[in-house]
Amino acid sequence: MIALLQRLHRWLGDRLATRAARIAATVLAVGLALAVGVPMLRTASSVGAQRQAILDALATCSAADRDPAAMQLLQRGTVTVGDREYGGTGVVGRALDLFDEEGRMSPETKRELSWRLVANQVPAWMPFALVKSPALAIAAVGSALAGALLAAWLGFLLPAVEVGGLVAAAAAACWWAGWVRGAQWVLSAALALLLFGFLWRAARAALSGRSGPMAVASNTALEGVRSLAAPGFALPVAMLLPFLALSRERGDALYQAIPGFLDWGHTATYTCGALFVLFFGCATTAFEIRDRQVWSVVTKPISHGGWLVGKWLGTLALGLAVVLGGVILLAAGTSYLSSQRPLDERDARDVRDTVLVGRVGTLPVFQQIPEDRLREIVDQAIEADSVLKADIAAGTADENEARRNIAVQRRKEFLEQQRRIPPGDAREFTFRGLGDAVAKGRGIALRYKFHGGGEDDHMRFPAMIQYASGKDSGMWELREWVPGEPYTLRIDPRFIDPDGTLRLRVFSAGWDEQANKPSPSTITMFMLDDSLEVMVDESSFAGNLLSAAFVDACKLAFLAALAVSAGSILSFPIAVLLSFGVFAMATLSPFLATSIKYYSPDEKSGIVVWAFQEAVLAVATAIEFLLRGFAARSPSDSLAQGRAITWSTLGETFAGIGAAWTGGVLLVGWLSVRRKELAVYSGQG
Amino acid sequence: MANPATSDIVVEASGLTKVFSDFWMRQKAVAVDGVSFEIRRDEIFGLLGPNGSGKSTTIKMILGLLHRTKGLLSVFGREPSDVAVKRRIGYLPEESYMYRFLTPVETLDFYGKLFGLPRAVRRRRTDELLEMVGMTHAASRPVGEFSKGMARRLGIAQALINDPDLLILDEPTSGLDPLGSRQVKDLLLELGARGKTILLSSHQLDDVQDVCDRMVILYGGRIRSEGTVDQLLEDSGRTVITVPRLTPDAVATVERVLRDDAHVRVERIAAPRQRLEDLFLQIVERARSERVETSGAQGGGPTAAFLRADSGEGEQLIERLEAAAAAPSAAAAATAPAVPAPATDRALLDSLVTGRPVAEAPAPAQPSAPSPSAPSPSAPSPSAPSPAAPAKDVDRSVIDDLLGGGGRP
Repeated sequence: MIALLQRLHRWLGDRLATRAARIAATVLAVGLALAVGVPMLRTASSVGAQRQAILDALATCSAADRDPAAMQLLQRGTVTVGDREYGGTGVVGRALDLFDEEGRMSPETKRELSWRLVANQVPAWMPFALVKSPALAIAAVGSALAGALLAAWLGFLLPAVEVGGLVAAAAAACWWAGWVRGAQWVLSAALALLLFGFLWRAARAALSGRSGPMAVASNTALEGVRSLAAPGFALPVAMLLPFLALSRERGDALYQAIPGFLDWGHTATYTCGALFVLFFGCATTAFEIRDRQVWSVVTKPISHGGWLVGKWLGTLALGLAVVLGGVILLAAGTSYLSSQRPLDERDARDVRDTVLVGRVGTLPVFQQIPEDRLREIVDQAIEADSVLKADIAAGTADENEARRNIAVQRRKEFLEQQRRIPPGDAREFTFRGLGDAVAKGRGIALRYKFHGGGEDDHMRFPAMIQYASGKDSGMWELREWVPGEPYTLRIDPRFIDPDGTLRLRVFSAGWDEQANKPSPSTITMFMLDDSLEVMVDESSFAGNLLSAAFVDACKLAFLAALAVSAGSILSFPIAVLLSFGVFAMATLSPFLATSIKYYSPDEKSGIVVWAFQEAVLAVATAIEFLLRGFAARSPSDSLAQGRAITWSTLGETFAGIGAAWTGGVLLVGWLSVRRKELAVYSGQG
Repeated sequence: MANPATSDIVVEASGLTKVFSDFWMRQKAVAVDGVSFEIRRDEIFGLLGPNGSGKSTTIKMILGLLHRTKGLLSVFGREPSDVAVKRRIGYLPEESYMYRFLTPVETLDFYGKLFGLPRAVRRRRTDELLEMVGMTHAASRPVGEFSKGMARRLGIAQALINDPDLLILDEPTSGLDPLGSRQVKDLLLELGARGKTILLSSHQLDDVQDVCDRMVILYGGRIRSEGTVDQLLEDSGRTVITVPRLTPDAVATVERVLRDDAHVRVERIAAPRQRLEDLFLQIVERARSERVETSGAQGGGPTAAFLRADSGEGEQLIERLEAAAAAPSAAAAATAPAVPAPATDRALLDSLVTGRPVAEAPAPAQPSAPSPSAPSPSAPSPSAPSPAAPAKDVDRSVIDDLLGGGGRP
């Protein structure tokens, strides 16, 4: 069987190497491009025209003015254009959500609704993203055609045919078995691997140069590809991300599916990239020294430091290819998911307002106990505690420590009091620094997530949110909330004071329609640190994604420097142990910080044990202090929560991790390797 | 370090010592112990010695791969670790440590980039070097698939990519067949004639003997002997005369004449044997002429053009003078050293054969016979025709005098 395949491979290779085969492949590729591209463009054009007609019909749509289009939408969930009706019962159920409090439909809602109404005009074989953007369709078809022509005329026809044939066969088998998603997954994974191939080529092209370090870097990148190390770490990304995007079930809300895809997808991408630079960075330097290829390099006009820098650049370039490929797949997957039908209007709005954005959060300013008052409270507490008072008088308890503990306790209780709203009660929360956002016309929203005792996600509780600042102070909104569920409330700028202050009063109460007055809720509302936050739109989703890639790049630069420096000094296993250990500690530093808070050496367990525990605490504290910045900036959480990765974060990350940490580690590596004897004793004795 | 007056010295070592220590800084081995030598410009210098004698350690110190423990060491007047010095050095290690995932073309291109060579130059030199070492047919195969000999040839090519002024070769013929060894030796001779300085370390004594001008013999990290090949190898106690085959009567006559006239007892008379190397080369040449296929390394091509590139009027002058020196002329005859005229030799031989004494004074002693490794007149050289590599016994003193003392001693 193998011999037969080998014979077939050779026969195919001979046939495809001929000029006639290349011409035939060219004709076939052009024909396929036209056969696919023309219907695509026609469909996109037709659907686009229908959508525009719907938008024109909705131009003056207003429930307040009882516009015919608005009434039809509310009553039947349809829009009529010419002799055609779009929509149906799927729209009428949530038609009310299409209009704001004043009965108007926002331009964003009109755009979203128009796409939803024409969605069933799009054939199943055509990705919706290509309908939305004909330019993207042209680019996709053009890229595929260019790739096919390059493969035909640059001698890649045989691998293209063999690999393409295998992929097509696998996809066809899935399709025939009724597993349509499987077929889509196979094709997506194949395209993803092709993407990585292009990125590796681009990395080598970027490293082409006559200088010693660039030559070493380019050679290192080639080693990573040909040794299958880079493909090995890119393969999980290429297979997992399409799988995650395609695994959404029909009943899943998009505003949960997309953040989940972003969170898992980005985590997988970054982890694969980090693990690759760690292992490959250690291997390429340690093995090159062990196997003595380095002799042939450093006996050329390149310093040991130049060799080290070249190794770092090559390793980093391949790691960045993994990250960049993952980011492109994340963008494609997000685009695919956001083009899917949302559950309802709220789902669509949440996706638009809370997921596919980059927002900066402002937490409320809580009141603090004044110093004088706090001192009084502490004095009263000590006075009231006769035992503590006696211990202080006897000298068995330290008065300063006792006063500090009482003060911390009282502050904590005061804060918790502000975060707890008993039934029928209210609390006021103040948010400052929103003047800039108002001036720039940025979108502002309140993000709230309340907790209640015995959380049950089937229970809904009422809450009233009253605006206590701005021009129309006093107006209020009635909301329902499920314990632990996040919600968003758009804030109109007219509720914000000129100095940028927003004050909100939250009532644990609903509205009794019959009595026409507030009625207390049946549950006490609790708030955690992130329960109440005003979010300001800072950047687009695409910008946020690129910022995440930049943060990842800075981290990979540090990890690559760590790996190549360790590999140039230590043997491979020890270098991996050290590098991976630092990576693990850096990633887990938040947990380490929490553990340190609760870890205290026990003086009563003996001097030796106590000394050991103190040493452990000292080392852990030092490590946490040094590495705390690494995990503090996690793009995965930011992407999933629609939080903007700000310019200041980018700057701090670049200056700290990208420049200082990376430069420091490379400097240590250079100092160690520049005088290192790379040859060994090879004589007798 | 070398002062302007000693700019002819490429490598200078004085009291060079290398002591290897273990992790606890305890002395483990004294690999090189107080070695002093000089390598001059344009000479081929040999390092001989058994395993563990310090040859490779010395070379590694010259290249900066090891740091000396004591003593002085300079290369082109600078510290060995100076990066600028390495631009002028080509190095072939004792084993060819190549990147297994690269092809020969990519390997040479990579090393060419390290020297900062432009792309066009890299391409041209790569093609020429691969043809020279007989690797053109394997130019696109990964090095990991190569035999030791093929990897060695590639190693030689990478050592020459930058057209170095100082070529350091550690066991250059290791792993090569006799044909390859012969080509390497011819290449070294040609490079030496072009003015390259070559440091050669080898166990193959024939290789060192055939090409080196001077050598040192190491043992236990110390120099035991040093000098030119002639100084070290000449056996002043004997004379060898090579003649066409003699009849038994002629042999007896020769013995009698030497016994009666020169009072010398003949120690040995024997028919010389063809060298195994020559037989091997004949067989290979015959196979080539029959166009027998091989997937291994093929015969090398001519020396790469950039290695034999005309460096200026000096080269033309040397060639003209060599051509002139080959033809008898009054000027050459007036300044030639005492090389006996063939007529004198023939008269003596005739007298030995016929038994009649010669009227002239006995001819001065012949210079030592050509090296045994040189092809015998009866066996045409099977190696591929190499460009003008001057024969070892061409008298260069004429040329040296005219050039004002430059060139090899």
